[in-house]
Amino acid sequence: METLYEAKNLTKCYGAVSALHNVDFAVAPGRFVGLLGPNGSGKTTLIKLSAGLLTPTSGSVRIGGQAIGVATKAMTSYLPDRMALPTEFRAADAVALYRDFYTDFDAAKAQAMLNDLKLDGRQRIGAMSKGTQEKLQLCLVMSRKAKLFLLDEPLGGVDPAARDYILATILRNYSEDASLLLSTHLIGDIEKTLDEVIMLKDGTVMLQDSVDHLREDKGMSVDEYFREVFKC
Amino acid sequence: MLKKLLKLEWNASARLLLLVNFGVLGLTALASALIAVQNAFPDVGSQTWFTIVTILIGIMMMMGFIGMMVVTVFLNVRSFYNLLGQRGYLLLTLPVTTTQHITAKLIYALATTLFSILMLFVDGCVTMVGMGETFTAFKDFQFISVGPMLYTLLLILLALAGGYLFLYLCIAIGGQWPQSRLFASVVTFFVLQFLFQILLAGIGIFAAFSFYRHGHLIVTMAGALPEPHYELYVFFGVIALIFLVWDAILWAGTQYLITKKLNLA
Repeated sequence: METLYEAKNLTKCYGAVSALHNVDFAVAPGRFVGLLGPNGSGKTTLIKLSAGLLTPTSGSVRIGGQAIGVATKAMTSYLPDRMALPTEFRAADAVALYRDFYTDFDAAKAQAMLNDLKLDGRQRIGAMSKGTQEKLQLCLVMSRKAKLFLLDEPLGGVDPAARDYILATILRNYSEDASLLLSTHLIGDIEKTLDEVIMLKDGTVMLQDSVDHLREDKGMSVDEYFREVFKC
Repeated sequence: MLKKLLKLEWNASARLLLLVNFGVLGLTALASALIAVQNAFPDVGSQTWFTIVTILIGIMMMMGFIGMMVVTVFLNVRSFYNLLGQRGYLLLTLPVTTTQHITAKLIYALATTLFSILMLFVDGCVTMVGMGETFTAFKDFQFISVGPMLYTLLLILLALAGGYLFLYLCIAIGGQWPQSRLFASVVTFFVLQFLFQILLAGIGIFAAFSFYRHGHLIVTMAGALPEPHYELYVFFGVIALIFLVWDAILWAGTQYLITKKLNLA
């Protein structure tokens, strides 16, 4: 199987606390993967390691066969779980930033999305509502023709209408040959769109399976299975 | 890439920086004009309200001078602090090397600091004009001593770079803490400064002792130089080299922490 993303014996410790422990999995090109797990299971840590924002304690992540570095950052489009765009920038400055640094950035597509959101390029990001800031960030991330999209909790903390917009934007804008790794615990919203799921529990991979096989095997939806496994 | 990173720095802080610098220049021009009026029209200038206004504007101008430099340094340090904070989620995922990040931040910091120093000089000239001073010193200025001037500029740049790189290193070390990273950076600053002062004192004592024992050798070497003023060049050259090595150590430490020990909160 061709591999786009590979985590091998990946371990990350924060002092004495182990956030990820010997995580091993691979993702093939063209897959929409849900990274599922309760709070504190290591989803964000895994995505941050993949984006090059954390250094692993041991093990490695390879994207497109390469260790995390400038080359992998050029082929990965990352959406953090927080607002990272400079608030003193205007929307047009943020578009220019992406255009300057990413050769795969489609400025026309970004502009069209901003028009959909009725966002004026001269509008300062700091003056936008939290929801609009998040949508702007998502539009920029999804305007790239990246090989891998790493989306950290894009559905968390937004109202159901915004959630629909975000999901539609994601599905409309990622190409068939790109892979998408999306972390969330709002499984019901995305279950229909996922190809496969990776479930994390206490920093280890509990399960990696295709959504269809999981449903067939367990006789329930992914959401139901998740609720059963992580029942408090 | 460096040009793009510099553009990013410019977009992030230039507005505020220019506003403060030109705001202080405007205040200086106003203070200068008031002083000129006071000198030209003693009847108006001697009135209490005019004197009070002039003094107040003068005080604001002086505070502006200090504020200008504080804002410049603050913006540059904040820019690096943000790189290892919230903004790192964007900047550190750009396809750019750590070396390029540090280079861009340092070049921008040096350029803006030199610009603010230049603006201080312009402010000084404007004040002198208001006082009716003539620039006789500038008339006599001749560009015969380009060498020492370049040396001085080089030393200023290396010293400024050392200052910023030291702050960058403190922030990078503070960034290793899981929480309270600003506090950790400040503590690191004071601890490292204390350690470096002890180290420098030790080196100073060693140098003085060495000179006492082998000073005749240095004097002989200096005497062997073809021109007497070359001694000055050699002296400044050694100082520049020391600064360069110091800057390189600070840079390497910062780069190591960002590339090998990055832990964005």
